[in-house]
Amino acid sequence: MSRDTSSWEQYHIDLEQNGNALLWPDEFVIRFLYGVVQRRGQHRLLEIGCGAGRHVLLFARAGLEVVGTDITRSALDFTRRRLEQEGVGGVILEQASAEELPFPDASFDAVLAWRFLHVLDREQAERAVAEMERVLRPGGSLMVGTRSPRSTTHELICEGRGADRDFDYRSGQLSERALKEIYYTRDELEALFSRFKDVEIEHMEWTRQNGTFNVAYWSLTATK
Amino acid sequence: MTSPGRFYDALYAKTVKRWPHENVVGFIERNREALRGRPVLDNGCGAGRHSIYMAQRGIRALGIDVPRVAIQHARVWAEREAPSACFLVADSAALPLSDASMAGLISWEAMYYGDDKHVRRCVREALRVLQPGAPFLLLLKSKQDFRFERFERVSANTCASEQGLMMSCFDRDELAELLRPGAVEVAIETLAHSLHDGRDMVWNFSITGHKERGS
Repeated sequence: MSRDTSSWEQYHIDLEQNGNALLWPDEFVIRFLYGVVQRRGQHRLLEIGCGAGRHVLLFARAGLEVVGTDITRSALDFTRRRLEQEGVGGVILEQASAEELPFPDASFDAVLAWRFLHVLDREQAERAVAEMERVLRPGGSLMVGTRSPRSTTHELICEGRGADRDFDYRSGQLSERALKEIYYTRDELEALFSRFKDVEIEHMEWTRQNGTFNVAYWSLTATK
Repeated sequence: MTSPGRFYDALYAKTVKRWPHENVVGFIERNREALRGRPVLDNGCGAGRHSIYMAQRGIRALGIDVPRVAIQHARVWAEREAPSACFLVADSAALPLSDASMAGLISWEAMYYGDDKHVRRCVREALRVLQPGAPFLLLLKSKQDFRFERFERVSANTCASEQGLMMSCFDRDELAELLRPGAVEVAIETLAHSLHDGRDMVWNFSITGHKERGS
């Protein structure tokens, strides 16, 4: 494991202790499952960066053969306990870096990488995208979520604010880690995924604090 | 108002939303202590995903909606997974509930259908049935939604699809005004996403607040 994962360990422990872990699947991912993966009759799915396991659970319940990876052990432990509690078996969970997936070429019908690409630097992201392509079968489906520049955090960084602040997830104040996040433009995303076909990019955003703080993501789907 | 029967029959034959929305989950979890064991109205419950979620979290969920097919679906689903959830065919603009009878209310992706008079009546009805201080969560549509631009405009706040389905949209100030009589601590959050490779924006407001205390 090349990267320091301790801040992510703490992140997941904090989320869990505050009862704040993301427990329910995102509606975009639900659409990917029913509108793409199942429609194409795809069965074997890899989620890279599965976090607290909300999507692993969704896919397993839908009858897919699911493998989840995360660089964070505490996230995988949380997911494992949750799968047990819900009585869902058969999911394989592995601690792994997105830049070096421990799976053979062309071993998955579908890959989900939901909202973690922005925490990698640009070179790491390129390696991670190459890995997504490598483990997908030809014709396989991809879905990726990553932060967009319409995020208020991006504006704060552009204005040079936030550098000396502590991390506060709720207020959206920036940690050192948050300052390193990458906000890809649509063009940059298209370039990053140029080896895929049928690339479609949707944008989503929502606010906090009575409309004053914007959170914004891209959702990209593509076919190998 | 358009008779929604056929539209909904087709909709529920095609898709059923199975998982609760993140915003609803957040609202329920934030208010869980206050709502546990107490009646919460799921106004426009559709196939029942949020009523079932609430019932599983120890809340006395009552789901109402107009299409019979939705209520039938919700009852069958609840029988298997959350038998305490109740469902009724009822109209949001004329709720069959007494004043101040509900400890909380959600209305997710439901209340914007109809002309603006209808939507205003629904909001008034929602506030009428809430107990003083009770929390609510509403999803209403923004004028920035692509349908508001594209559909035929039938009034300042209302558009109609080719099939005649009416939808009302508001801006932030109009919403604040709409809720001012009767609601306090109102927070209006954007909730938007694109469709068709970024060409069209679905633009909603997710609104939380409390019924005025002592009204």
